[in-house]
Amino acid sequence: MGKGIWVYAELTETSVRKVTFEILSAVKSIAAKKGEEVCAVVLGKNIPESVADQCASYGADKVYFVEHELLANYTSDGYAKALADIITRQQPSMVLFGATVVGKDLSAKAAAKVSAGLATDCTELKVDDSGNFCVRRPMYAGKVYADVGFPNAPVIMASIRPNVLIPTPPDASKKAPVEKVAAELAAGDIRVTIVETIKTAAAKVDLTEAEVIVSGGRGMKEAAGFKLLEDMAEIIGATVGASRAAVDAGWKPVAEQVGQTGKVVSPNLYIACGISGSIQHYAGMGTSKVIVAVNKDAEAPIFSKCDYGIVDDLFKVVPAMTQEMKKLKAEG
Amino acid sequence: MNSIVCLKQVPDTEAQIRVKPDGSDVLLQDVKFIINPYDEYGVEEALKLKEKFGQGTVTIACLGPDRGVESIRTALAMGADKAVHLDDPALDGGDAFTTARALAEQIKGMEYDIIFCGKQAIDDDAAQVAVALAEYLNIPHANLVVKVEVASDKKKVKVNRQIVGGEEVLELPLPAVITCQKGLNEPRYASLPGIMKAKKKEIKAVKAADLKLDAAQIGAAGAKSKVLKCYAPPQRKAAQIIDGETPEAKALKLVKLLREEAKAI
Amino acid sequence: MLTTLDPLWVLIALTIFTIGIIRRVRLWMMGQKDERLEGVGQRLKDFIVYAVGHKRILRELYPGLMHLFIFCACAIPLLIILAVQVKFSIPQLLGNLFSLFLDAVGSLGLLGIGLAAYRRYIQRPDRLSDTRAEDAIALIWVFAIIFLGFCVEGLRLSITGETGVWAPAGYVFASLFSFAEPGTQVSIHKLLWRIHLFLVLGLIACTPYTKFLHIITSAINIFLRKYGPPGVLRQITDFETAETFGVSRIDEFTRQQLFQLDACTRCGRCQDNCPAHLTQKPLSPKKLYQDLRTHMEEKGAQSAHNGDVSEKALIGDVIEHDTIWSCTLCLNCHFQCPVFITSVDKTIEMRRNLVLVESNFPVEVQAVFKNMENNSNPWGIGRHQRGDWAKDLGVKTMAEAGTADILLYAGCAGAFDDRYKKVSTAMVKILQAAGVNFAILGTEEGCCGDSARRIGNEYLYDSLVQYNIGVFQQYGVKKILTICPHCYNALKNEYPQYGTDFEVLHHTELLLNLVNTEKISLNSSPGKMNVCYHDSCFLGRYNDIYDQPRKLLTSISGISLVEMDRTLDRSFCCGAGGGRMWMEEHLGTRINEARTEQAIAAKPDAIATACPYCLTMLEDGLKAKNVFDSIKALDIAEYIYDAMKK
Repeated sequence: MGKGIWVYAELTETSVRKVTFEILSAVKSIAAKKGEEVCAVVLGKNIPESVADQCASYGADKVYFVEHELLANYTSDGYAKALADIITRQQPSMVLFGATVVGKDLSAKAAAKVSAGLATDCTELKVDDSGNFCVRRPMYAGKVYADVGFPNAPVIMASIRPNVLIPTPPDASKKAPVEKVAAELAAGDIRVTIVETIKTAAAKVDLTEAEVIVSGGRGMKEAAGFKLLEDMAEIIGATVGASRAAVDAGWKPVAEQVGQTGKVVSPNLYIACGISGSIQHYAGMGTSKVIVAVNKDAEAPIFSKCDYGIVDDLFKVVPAMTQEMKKLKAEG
Repeated sequence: MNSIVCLKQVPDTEAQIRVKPDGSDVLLQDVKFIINPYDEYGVEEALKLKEKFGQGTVTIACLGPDRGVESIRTALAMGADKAVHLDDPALDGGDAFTTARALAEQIKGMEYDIIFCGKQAIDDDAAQVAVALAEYLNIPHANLVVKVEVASDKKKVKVNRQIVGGEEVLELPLPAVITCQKGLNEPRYASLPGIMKAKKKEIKAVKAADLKLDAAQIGAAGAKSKVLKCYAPPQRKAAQIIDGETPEAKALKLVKLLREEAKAI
Repeated sequence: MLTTLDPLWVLIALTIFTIGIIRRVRLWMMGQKDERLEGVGQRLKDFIVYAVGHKRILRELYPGLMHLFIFCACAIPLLIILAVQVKFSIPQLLGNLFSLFLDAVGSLGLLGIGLAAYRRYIQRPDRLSDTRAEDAIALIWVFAIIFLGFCVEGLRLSITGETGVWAPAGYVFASLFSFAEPGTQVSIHKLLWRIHLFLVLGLIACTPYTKFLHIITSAINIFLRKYGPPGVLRQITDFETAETFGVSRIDEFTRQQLFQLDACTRCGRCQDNCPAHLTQKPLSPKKLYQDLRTHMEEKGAQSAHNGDVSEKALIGDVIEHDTIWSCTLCLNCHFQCPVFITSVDKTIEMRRNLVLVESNFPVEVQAVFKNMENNSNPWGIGRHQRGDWAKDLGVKTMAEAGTADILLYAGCAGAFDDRYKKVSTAMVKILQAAGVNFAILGTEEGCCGDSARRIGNEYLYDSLVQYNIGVFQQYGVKKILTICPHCYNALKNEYPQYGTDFEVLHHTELLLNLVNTEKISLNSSPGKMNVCYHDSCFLGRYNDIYDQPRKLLTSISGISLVEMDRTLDRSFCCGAGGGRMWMEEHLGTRINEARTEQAIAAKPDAIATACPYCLTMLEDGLKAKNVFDSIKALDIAEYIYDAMKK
């Protein structure tokens, strides 16, 4: 019997990545069913106490701070070794990660080190009638969903798609004990050198984390057309994305492309303007909770895949929507 | 400059993937197979390195069934020199780690400066094999790479990789594993002479027995995760197409619905 | 008049001539062997019609007549003079008539040259913008010969005192010399006659080195013209063994292809009708021929001197990449050229080299190739969806029906393009109403391969063709109905290169048949409507189908036709042919907008076409010109179907 369900708490520059809280919330009932405690595991250097408080407020029973000088910045070598070491020592039954850039990288390397079973980019966590943990995850760009089980796995690992699980409201009164562990790392363990970090979009929420996305496609007609979407995004706190057609036309950079070969996103609200809705685009946003489509072409495939649709000129509809949204925002 | 490119054959992105009636697996008959697009970036990058250094071999490593030969030949037609094909029922039914283990055993005995993999396979979308491969070979790796610069002494490589909100420039000692992300390069179209030459290039068949691995480490026996059941994706409820006299009227209705019914704004 | 030396001069002239001809022949012989020439009888007939009869030249009246006059002025006197050497006596009356006739011909010749000079130097049409010294020299030379000929005749009349009744032009010239004494006149006569003789001998001698070469090469080129369906491309079968594909060096063209380069007189009719040239792309068929010709001469000079002149690459240095990719393969230049020079066969070979050997082609085309390889359509839409367009129409697939009288081949556009699915659907409904026994292939249908072939990917084309033929044979298909002219052309004219023998119909052919045999009745009228029909290249020039769509339109009550200036076999390409549908248009102005402007200028209420590419291009053009709401573009099938409704 393992000792605990662990959630890797990924740190951002200022705080904890939201997906951590989504996982902590979801894992509470599973932990109760299996009679195990929920632990958050944080790696870094001089980790602030507030991190532990936040994890506790979302349901962590205990928090591990694994600290070392060499963990100041994320490296696969450093983090995977430190994490694998503590996993080996403490023998949790499962370790969960957000399916982020870091999460997917770290989970794969740590799993290889400790011979875990690993499922990537899961959208559901469950325990079956026999008490076995399994996950549901998309395959074939979302054309198939699979239930994945973990027979023979000494440790189970899974990375969870951000913005799919719903975080419960935090309870600031909850506190969890913090166990600080010094990681055993030497400089030679880390083979990679970070030469420089190039920030692109400043201060904007990344598409993969955004709760609301407003996206433009071929129907935007030109780069300047995206101004309409930016105006709307401003009002509702959205990030602006683009379809492949808009990126190929040079109106938006590849980093803002939503789709199977671009960013896979899962916001609460996805507003697609002038996007036809090919399967490749859908593969990148199909798990959005609410999908809205605005397109002049009544036959566009997106209309069979959305929740709400307007067949009309987006250059009239979008500004009108923005106006109305402004009004609602002012009303509070 | 010797490169190894790990290649997986996957169903075409547009292929219809149906689930077997009993949900045990997907139906892959009549499906068109292609080189995993992310692996193709690896092939192209390896070829560019060979051209840059004016020497070296590009070897394709593929673990998969017999039909994979077609995709291996395509990579050879692009310009790769030879291939090793790990094709054995004993290797089937495993997970990413048994695959990586088998590949690592094979690659251990080969000469290489750098290994290219795709960031993920578009069938299982797992993104695990490359990282595990690096771990088993005990060499460093970098994921989501969009730019590769090998130093002229071939001892290290500088890569740009994607992170949240931008890019990170890393330096790794060689040999290392690089996983390729879209934007790294534009894979070349195989020329006809290339296609013809590829028919004669060596594809070495490798069996499980050649790999000196425990039966418990490979194939279904070694798998630590397993697909229990497959489903077609949940269907969305039918779309509500909003009507109205004017575009503005429709817009108003929609915003109201988003606020009150969907509670999305 | 003739002196004892004259045979020597003639000999010298002929020698210089022969040396020049041999030099040219050596250049043509640089090329590869051609296939055997067949059908000599038909070729001789066409020679008479087109070379002597000036059939294509006379399509344009001014330059046509102008050239005819000069041609007659050169050819007829020459024949007469040669005949006259064989001193046979002819009755006086006939002789007088001949004299009159010759005078007329000569005068027309002078007129012709005057017209030519006026056109070239005063009117200065765009297509003669590359006028050279060579052109002026030729005009002056011939003028001088005729002028001196008349001078000589005039002097003879003056000296002999003959009446000018049977030689009126000569009579006019006689008065020019009336100032001189008879003795002087004799000397002048002798001098001018000699100069006239040397000019003629000189012309003969210099023929291979000057514009006069066209007298031989253009005429022979008409004899060598290609027969068979226009635009059929050379088949490649030895993919496995050939060392190279297409053409990347001038000597990889065939001898006939190189010969053609010498037949071009730079008349520019090709250029004046080329949609690429007229929208400022670097392609002009005339320039293509001239650049290749210059390069051929350079290569010839190089090998003659074992030269170390730097290697110019045919593709890239001599012919720009953009020139090669700009061609829409519309065949307008082929149809306009008075001497049957062809550009497509040369362009396609260079494309083949770029695609098959160099893998060097517009970047957006790679995805199209991959899509055709993996999903058998240029858009890359899932192959399993190819039958979806018809699933609610009550149509049987061949697999379900087992057999049918006619196979309806939907084509990629008819199966996948949302706009064109309306046309394929209309066709199905019409066929059902007419009680035609037909079936479709559904998911077993494959792309006809036309786009792949015309971009230059013969290997991909080959695999697509072999697949389709296999399926057709499996179901014992004999008769095929196509909707798209590209599919039509491929199945009808190019698949036979693989040994097939299907009867292939375009939907306009079958529809007309159904209307004529009253299997469908056109009861409904759209009201009084002017419709402008756009001839698609692959239906019109490629397959001579001009009337059927028009008859169909006028069978609908209320519809009258308005024609564009560039119509029938002069129709202007929509811009999508030659695989350009799949390429971005970066240079110049847009071909489809140019054609749309032409259509709008005809003041139609609506536009009609019979091709999915043309329909897409024209609709895009109408949108770009902001008239999409007032002028609609519809396929012939849609007009017919609408007219069938009660």
